[in-house]
Amino acid sequence: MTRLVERLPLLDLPAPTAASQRLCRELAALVDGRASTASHERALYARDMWPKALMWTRAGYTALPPDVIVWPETVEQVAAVTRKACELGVPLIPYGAGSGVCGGTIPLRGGIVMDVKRLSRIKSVDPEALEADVEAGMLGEIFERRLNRQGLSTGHFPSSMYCSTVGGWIAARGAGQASNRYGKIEDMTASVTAVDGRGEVVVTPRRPVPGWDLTQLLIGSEGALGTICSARMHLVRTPEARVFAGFKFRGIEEGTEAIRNIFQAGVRPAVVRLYDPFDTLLVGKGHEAKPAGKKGLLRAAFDEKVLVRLERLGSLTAIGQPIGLNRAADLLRECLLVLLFEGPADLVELEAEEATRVCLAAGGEDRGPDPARTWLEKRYAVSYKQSRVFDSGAFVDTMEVAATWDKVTQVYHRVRQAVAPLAFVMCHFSHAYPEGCALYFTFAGAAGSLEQIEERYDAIWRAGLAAARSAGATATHHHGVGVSKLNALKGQLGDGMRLIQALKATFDPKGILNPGKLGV
Amino acid sequence: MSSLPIDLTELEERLAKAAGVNSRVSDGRLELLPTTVKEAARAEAARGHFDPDGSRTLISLAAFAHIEAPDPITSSVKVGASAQLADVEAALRSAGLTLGWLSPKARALSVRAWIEGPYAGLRVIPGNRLESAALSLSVSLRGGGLYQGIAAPRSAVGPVLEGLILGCGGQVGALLEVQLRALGRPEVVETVHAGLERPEEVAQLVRAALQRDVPVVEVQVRRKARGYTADLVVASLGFRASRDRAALEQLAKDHGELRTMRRVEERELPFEGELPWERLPWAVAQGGPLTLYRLARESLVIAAEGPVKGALALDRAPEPLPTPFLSALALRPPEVA
Repeated sequence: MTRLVERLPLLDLPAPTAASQRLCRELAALVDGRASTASHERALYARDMWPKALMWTRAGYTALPPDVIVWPETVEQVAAVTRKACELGVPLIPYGAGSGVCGGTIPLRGGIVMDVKRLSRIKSVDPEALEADVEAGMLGEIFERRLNRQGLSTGHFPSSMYCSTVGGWIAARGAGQASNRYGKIEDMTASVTAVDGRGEVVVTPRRPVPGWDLTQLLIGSEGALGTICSARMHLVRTPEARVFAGFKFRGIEEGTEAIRNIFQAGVRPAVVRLYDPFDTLLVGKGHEAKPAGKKGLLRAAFDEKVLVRLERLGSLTAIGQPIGLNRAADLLRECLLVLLFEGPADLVELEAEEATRVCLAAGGEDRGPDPARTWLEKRYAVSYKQSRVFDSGAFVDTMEVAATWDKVTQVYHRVRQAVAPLAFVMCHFSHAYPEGCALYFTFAGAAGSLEQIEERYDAIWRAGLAAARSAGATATHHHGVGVSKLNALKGQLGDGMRLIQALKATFDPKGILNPGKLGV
Repeated sequence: MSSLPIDLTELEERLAKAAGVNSRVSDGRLELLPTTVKEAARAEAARGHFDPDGSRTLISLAAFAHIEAPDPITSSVKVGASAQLADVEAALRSAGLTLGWLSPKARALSVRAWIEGPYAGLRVIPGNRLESAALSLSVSLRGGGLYQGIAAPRSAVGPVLEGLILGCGGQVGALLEVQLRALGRPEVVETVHAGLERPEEVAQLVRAALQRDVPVVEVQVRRKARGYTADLVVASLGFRASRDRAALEQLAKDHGELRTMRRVEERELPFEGELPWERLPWAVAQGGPLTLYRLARESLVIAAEGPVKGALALDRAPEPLPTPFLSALALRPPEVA
């Protein structure tokens, strides 16, 4: 069977061809010498943080690497590189910090990877209008820290905050942990400057726009319509006050109903996270005294030591045969809801009071501020624990989908049921709106050989996405499509793929930009 | 039927067979009468095949005027695009919901005109952000095919394709059905009356209120003998109404003078346009009565006695989509049932 993404032995990377070395020289002349065909760099830029590619790396394999990597520093250099690629018909893949988890930057047909991290300037900040012009290669955490010095904030806090760029946020249509209050990246981006597939600079108009909303069409385009070079972003003021709250519910049905009622009551916590029972056990261990009795024993069964073992060889059998673990998780009921309110001091107190009233009415038990405080302290930590899982020979991945409230619990149960034979699965509910929310599934699995791992990994995704889609969920809420959800993209858009194809023909008539992505 | 030119009869036969929809002849044109989204898509595909320039065929979307019962669970309502917004709002009102605080001219539109026209179906949500009211859309695409968005609050499935539909005048296809997002109906609507010396202060006060998270939904501005008055309508949910009023009153004092509260009568002005914020002081300085709506961080809607410089008129035709894009759309052979 032909794979969408081929893997090669890492140590047997083909040497740069004479043609790619010539191309490298030509590109170097356009970007002040910053171009390379070095094997180690080609291997590094062959992947992002797509877990399947991480598994390959651990096993000594790589996806097809690019032929050349370039590091432009200005929009003009991006345009010049693009024109050269267009002239030669060579694939060109824009690259930010490589933190995507869907394989969006994998050069499916080789070519040029264009790393835009050197475009990292904040060009202007307008504290009155609450806007900033920032280049695409700016890393999220640095951008936020610099804005904070002026009492401003992006309001965008993805878990990849330390290793993702503004351009990547926009290209993948991302969301931050506080999207409940501040919106997703499509809600925060006023305008973008991009270079299309012909090497022309496109500055999208801000509102009011007289026709199509070009900004929205470039958001989520995953490098297939243009290289995002900078953006005009809406900002918020750093919050005057924060209020933390936590509630326990007797199940996800109660918990999701509470979230729905909170949002439909007009309350907008910045952070909302409802953990399913097993996830509750994991997040709860950090900030609560272990209860006595049967619950304590059950909790002990999953305590830190066991979790650590799960990440090591001793757990491979358990994760490799996940039915038992999933059945054990089925016995659990308690769900933790973490809420964080922020904004004007006179408002957040009222919002917290109203949310508390709603949660108690939905059957919640007030657990005080500690769960939310602890979450905030560790908000970026979880992603960095994943490497331990990969080190152990197991794998972990996440699938985030979104649905309206009438479908949310159905999506949850169907995905769990579909994936349970293949991987251990848990979920939290976040990114809430009056109409629905996102469900963030975490899968952990293991198998023997690399081939068996790949087979299992692919089966998990097929089963998970099919179940989510059959229950009425969208295929992704904020991670994007990349290569892992290409089939789901086509399934979800149906005839709407014609619109994507027409956009591709308009902005990238030669099809050089990240070819194969978005199904075009 | 026998009086029709033979080719029109043939066209009717072929189209009706291909599309599987009812049809009639009216004013020398063949009118196709689909009643479901699938029928509409088939009709569009058949028209594309047998009458590519569409000069002899009309697809009637009159059947798409239904309004389903509002769904309080998803805070939304499914409607046909030919339904009138006023009727949708009435249905939502009975469920304690609303589409949002719309301007008078927007309220008078059909769902289709509101979404496909320059209003782009946008309204303000908490946080003073613009958001499309369309939770999902069904569009019969030009040249055939049906685009049916998934009803999900947000997505990351490629570009925001609604950018090709909202405000685009139906150029990619005919809007058939929409699931519209609704908001909780404000429980308290009050007005704060401010006196301000300079036009800039009017803009500053309104923006400060929005940035302070006060849900100001309408502002009536008048020039007085000395300075300006601004009647700021704030529409709040019950739990925060006192706070919102107090915060707005404080801001009015900070920026000018807080005056006696009074009820504001709605007024409809002939011109409505979308205005970038930086143009607001200039518009205020012109001195005519103004009413501001859809006050979002991105832009606002201004109503005035006549056109306002810098405002995009909201009754204009949308700009044509780029020719390469439209050509690419039409390249695909039509699908004929």
